[in-house]
Amino acid sequence: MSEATATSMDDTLLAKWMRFANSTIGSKMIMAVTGMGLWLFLVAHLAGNLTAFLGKDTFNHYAEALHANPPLLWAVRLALLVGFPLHIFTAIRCAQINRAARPVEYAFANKTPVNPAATTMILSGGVVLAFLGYHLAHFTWRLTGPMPEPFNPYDMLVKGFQQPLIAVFYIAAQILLAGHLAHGLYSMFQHLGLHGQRWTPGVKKFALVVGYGLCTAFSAVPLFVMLGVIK
Amino acid sequence: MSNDKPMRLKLHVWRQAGPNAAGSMKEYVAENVNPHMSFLEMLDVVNDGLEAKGEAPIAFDHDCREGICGMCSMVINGVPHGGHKGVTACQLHMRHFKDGDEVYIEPWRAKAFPVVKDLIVDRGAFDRIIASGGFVSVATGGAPDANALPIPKRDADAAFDAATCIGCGACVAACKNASASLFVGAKVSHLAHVPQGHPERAERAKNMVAQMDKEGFGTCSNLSQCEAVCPKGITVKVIAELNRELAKAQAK
Ligand code: HEM
Ligand code: FES
Repeated sequence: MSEATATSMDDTLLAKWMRFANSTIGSKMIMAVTGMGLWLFLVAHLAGNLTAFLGKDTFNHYAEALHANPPLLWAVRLALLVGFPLHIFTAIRCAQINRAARPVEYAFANKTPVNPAATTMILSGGVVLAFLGYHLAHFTWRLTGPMPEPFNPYDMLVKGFQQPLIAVFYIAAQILLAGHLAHGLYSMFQHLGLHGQRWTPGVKKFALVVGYGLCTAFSAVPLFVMLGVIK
Repeated sequence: MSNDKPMRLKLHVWRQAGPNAAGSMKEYVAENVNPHMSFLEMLDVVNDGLEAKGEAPIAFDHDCREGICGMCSMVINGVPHGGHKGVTACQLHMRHFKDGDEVYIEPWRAKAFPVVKDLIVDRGAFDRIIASGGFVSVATGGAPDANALPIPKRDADAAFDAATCIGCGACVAACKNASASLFVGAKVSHLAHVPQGHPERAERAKNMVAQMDKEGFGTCSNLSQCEAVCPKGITVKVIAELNRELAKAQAK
């Protein structure tokens, strides 16, 4: 009897949260929380990348230290393996709901002003996903791109970005990511219910600066390899 | 003296005989348009001409014609209510148009707002969302003193700002996702700011969001198109408040 009560309570609690996660607003909160995780990851990732400017030894040491810490590495990977697919899955689900919500389009285009970066989140996200696949194949699985002999991470990075096509592709992906991140950061505040008449305009500006700033910093590594500063 | 010269406009209007009929954009010429006319008066004149010719007049919703009832609902040149700040279609004046202009007029487009006829859509979805919010607990009996229930000025202002929503649906019509977040946000925010709304606060947020989703409105992508067209100047602050109210209700 008591057992049955316990399971039915679990049921309702689970059902309650499933209903929330399925609602349009709950879905957007999932986007916001997973997006925030991705943001944090990118900031940490960038800090690692920038050690390339400190020279070969520092960069290789950083790469080694990272791999010498499997618990940390796998904690991050696990979080990404859950959070990233959840972010993408929810994005696709929301896009389907949105498409279904307007079965007949306007004959004359919708002319209500809008920020283009905000309407192309699925597109910029999709490009980031394609880029991510290539990026992993290149630096994590080492299936493509020129590899140094004997192997070390710094020379792999330099040799890779000395190919203009690879460097330009990395930079182009960053430009699209910047728009995604800038709108995403502001959007995150809204979805989590954080809005203030006085400070929300500041959040919007901050999101632009940080979103584009982060991607500029990411682009700096391939750019400076191309320019021969990092070699 | 302002320019009273009559204008001639070319209209492209969505015509649809009934909910299940196929519709299409039809061309009309509006002659002798006085710049002092409202947009709806211009349509009245066009309709007089159509009726004189034995054709069916263009059906459109309207009631107060003074920007307070929220009945008028048409997308004019791609923007709900025509895109002038704080103005409904009935309050839009023809002086904003030039002789020879082409004007595209369409109904609100959303799955949750099916076309009834021509420019008229069924906004019953909004009524069902309101109904799902349920009742508000009020003490009945003699009218209480005005100052018996103190409400901080900031809260009173926020509630009034949200309460100006006239439920016209322009927010849904403008949104790329056909989301009703601004409307539902206004309704939830309005009652969340005053003590009268507190006993049912959590249930109201949950039920209204559930109904909103059931009606088939889209999700909010924070595009702010709703805010840009709202004739009452309601801002996306109410959407953040709606999100917060739902999260708080969920945590309970
Ligand atoms: C790889 C594929 C990706 C896809 C398909 C994708 C898709 C989307 C979409 C469609 C939204 C908009 C949600 C809305 O309509 O409001 C969004 C929001 C967001 N994305 Fe992504 N994204 C991807 C990758 C990323 C990455 C790598 C980051 C890294 C930081 C990121 C961070 C964010 C953030 C912070 C938001 C805001 C969440 C919110 O709306 O509250 N996304 N994403
Ligand atoms: S007819 Fe009442 S608001 Fe336009």
